Amino acid sequence: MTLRFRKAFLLTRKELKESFRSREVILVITLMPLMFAVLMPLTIPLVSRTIPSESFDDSDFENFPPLVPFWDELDSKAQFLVFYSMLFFGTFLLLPMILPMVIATDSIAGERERKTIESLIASPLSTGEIVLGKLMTTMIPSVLVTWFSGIVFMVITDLFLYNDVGRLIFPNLMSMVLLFGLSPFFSLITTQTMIIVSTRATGMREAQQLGSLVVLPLYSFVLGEAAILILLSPYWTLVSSAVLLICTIILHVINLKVFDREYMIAAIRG
Amino acid sequence: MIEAENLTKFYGEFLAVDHISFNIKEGEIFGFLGPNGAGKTTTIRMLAAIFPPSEGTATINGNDVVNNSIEVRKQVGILSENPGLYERLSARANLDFFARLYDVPKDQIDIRIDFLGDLFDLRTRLDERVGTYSKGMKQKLAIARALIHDPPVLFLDEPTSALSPEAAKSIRDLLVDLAKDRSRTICICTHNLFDAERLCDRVAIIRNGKILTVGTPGEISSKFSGPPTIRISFTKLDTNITQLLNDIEGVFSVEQHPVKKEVFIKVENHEINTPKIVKEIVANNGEILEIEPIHASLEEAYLKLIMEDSLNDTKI
Repeated sequence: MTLRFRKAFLLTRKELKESFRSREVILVITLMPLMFAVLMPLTIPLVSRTIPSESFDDSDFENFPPLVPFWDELDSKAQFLVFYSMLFFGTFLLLPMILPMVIATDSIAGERERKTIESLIASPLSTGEIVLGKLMTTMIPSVLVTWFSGIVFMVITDLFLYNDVGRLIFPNLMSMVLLFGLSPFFSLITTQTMIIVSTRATGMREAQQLGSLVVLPLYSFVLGEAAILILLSPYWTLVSSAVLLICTIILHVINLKVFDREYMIAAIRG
Repeated sequence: MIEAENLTKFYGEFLAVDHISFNIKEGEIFGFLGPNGAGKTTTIRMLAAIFPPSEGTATINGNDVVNNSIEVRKQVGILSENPGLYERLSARANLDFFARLYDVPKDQIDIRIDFLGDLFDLRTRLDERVGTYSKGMKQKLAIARALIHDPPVLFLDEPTSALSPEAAKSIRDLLVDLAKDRSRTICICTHNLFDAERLCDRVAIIRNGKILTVGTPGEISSKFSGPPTIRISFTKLDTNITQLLNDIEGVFSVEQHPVKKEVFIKVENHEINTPKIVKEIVANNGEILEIEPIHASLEEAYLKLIMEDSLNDTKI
């Protein structure tokens, strides 16, 4: 059966309108980026002022792999601040995973909870179109908000680091690959996982609780991916990205199987 | 129009619908009557291709509900037990979304929404969030949603529940109009025997997933509600009257109302026995105030059928 993208997008458009009228979704989609993109880099000048240059030794970061191309030209304090900012960038990668958690649970478990799923299942949409529509509902805002927040994060970090480092550390190849190349994958893998969790959970609360349990191990996978990119080589990044892609395809196939029409309305069986 | 053959549904090991067969003609209003958990909703969900039957087949307008499920869903409008509306969106946005899903031509969508808004008396509130609607308004909007693509077949689960008497009447009138004037086939699940008696051309009484009987409400009432009954009220009720009436040929039983001066007489044949009874009462100086034949009701037949079936369960 052919997948009608236009039909799936109709569902996405409706879901986005609905999601953006949810207080919980709006709160998460505004507060989380604010925390990750603005509040975290705000600590850089604070750290810079609190720790004097004298407390660093030249050998402190001597054995560290170069985190930026001009790494060797930096003094130890600047190297520490770059390292500190990169740690935050790693933490920032939680954002493309947290946003899908909230949007996907509202879109699927929420739909079951509000008992609107039956009219959708009774419509001429195929299961694949419903899953694709839900996937796009979660992916579009998650990716766009992550990209926008990433740019804000980089601008603010550069602004605060410039005094100590004397150069702009962002944008660089690693941050571009992570933000624009890999973070959509991180969102996708979380979304796929959350769709599976949401279709099996009895309500939104349960879906979110289960989702948190699932997302934490996923985050270690994401950090591993970022570490490979920073510490190893583009070749290994490509290999690990291929693994990531295979995982999302497997998850999508599982999704189509677990999105069982009968099970979805089982809770509202009459 | 709708044909079902040995339609069966298992939920795990639980048999919800047990090999039922029936057919519904075009333009017919068909009712499924039965207690909670009888299998009514599951039956219409299978017919509407929401999920497949475990066994058996069903077709809507020649389209198989399993092999051609998307075509079936296009031809069907469904009102489920819960209105299931998107409460954060306006009524117009709800209808617009479903109109597009069901391929209503773009230039017809607003016309159709306004038409249904007028029909259900919601026009002035179409742009308000559904969350602000009353229960009755939501029910009307859910029916409007089922009609948005003008489907040839409608499945309605308790269409008049939550509606005020006047709104319920307007829905009943609309359904009759859709079936009779516009040849729409309508399938209703209901507990409301009043609705079933007034609306349905034929009804099926279901219990434990099995169809106990199918027929017109009149056929079922006269077949299952027992012998005809005559109510006679008197100006003065003599206590001996019960004995007197019991002795008349063709009278099965006589029940005297404990407070009112009236009796209920079950007879073999209403037309033959009534004149004899009147003659006998008059001959014994009884003063009759009123005589009324009590028509067999669907409710009585339904209750009798369900009761008999549950007694069979007990015997087993």
